[in-house]
Amino acid sequence: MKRQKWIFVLLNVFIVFQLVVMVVSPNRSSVIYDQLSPYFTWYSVPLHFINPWSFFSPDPSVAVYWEYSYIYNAETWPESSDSMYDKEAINYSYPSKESKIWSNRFIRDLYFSRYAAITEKHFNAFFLPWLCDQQDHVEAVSMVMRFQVHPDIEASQGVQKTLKQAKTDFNRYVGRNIYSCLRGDRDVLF
Amino acid sequence: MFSSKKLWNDFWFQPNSVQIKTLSAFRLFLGSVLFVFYFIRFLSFDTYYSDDGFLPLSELGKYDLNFNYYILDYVQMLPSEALFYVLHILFLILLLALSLGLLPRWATLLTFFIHVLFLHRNPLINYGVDYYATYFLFYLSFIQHSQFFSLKPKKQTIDIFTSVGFRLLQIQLVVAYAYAGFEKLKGQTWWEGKAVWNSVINPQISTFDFSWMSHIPFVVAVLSFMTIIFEVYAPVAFFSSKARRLWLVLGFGFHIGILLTLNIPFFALVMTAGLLIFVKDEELDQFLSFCKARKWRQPR
Repeated sequence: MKRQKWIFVLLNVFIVFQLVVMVVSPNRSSVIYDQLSPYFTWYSVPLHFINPWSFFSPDPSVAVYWEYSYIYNAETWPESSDSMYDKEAINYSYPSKESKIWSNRFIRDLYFSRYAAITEKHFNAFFLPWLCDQQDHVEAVSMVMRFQVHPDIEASQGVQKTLKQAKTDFNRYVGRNIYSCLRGDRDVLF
Repeated sequence: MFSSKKLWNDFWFQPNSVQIKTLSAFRLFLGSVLFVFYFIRFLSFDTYYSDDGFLPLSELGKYDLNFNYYILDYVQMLPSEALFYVLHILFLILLLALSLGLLPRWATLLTFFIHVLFLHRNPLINYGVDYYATYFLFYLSFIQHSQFFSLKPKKQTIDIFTSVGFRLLQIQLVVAYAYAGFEKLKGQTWWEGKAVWNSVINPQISTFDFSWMSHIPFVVAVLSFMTIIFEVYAPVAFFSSKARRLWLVLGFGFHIGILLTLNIPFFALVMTAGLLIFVKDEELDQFLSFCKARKWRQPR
């Protein structure tokens, strides 16, 4: 009986604690979070109870692609291989330009490209090394970020803008750079 | 006068209020969806979790989430890629057992811990399904979830842990909805009623060409505002005897709409599963007899 009472008390304490974590932890900008988080992050962070639940908000995002081509090292390029210049002319897109219906891999690729580009630190630590490692004999990557802004709903009325048209009409390019792939020297080259 | 202590105890510890059959249906639905979802993730294991992939273990320390990520030391204590590979296989087996109703509570908790380990191993690829799975698996580990729709149904007296897990599941879901709604209120396109258009016109996440929706801006605006109203008022509506059914209809419609229009099918399915926890056992029975799909064994 005494044991049951203790279980009951502990369950009540746990419920209150879990409710605090549940309600307070998503809003990391609040004063309440600042005051209370030292008492629960030891629990909420390791168990990953840290989601802000901000889906499609504050506004739905636009389509973002990394468009890039490789610059190869002429000294290490094997002579028997295809022309290095032909390969350098190939333009890649990450994630792939074709939206794959109900593809789980595509969505994870999309999130990787977003998270990896959040900060310069992430870009240099994760995204650039991964791109560089996708091919042999790579010296640098020439890259630009392409945003595809939304066609306004009112402007689209009666114009019959299809997604295909939107792809060309609403592109915005940001920050074309060439990034070195050499280890320890991953700064912008040009 | 109501006693607040009685209200509290009735809410959290009253076994009669637990909808044990819909909880079992929730377990079956969630377990099946998660099994397929993480099986697909497993097919790209090398890309996601190997040292040749997106995030080598040695680089994990460079991930910046704006607060002290001290779990890192814990994840890095598992040095071997092979160990992660074995853990992922074990995770899939546990999820399959969960969906078949063969998993005891302690093993559900183990499933949760393995899941969290993978979230920490590569935070760059996680999204909505992974986040909801975290909470759902954790709360399921409190619940006697295998009484129905199970290969080995076990008839048990509902205990207070099940009751607590059931209530936490319900509250977690409405808190998540409310936060999602409040966050949307910060967005200009949600206020203008154009956010649904901006979502379905994005070629990276839309399933088909929805540009024809520009001819029905009024419907687009209504759908945008309905989304916010559904999410913001979920904490009140799902616990109101008058509004619960309406909110369930709206909720199922909302998530099936996402399933059909946006390229996040597993997210839509997990959320649809989540809504089951607000369905009453007798309503589920009515639905099942309507579908005549009672192929699973009943508890003895």
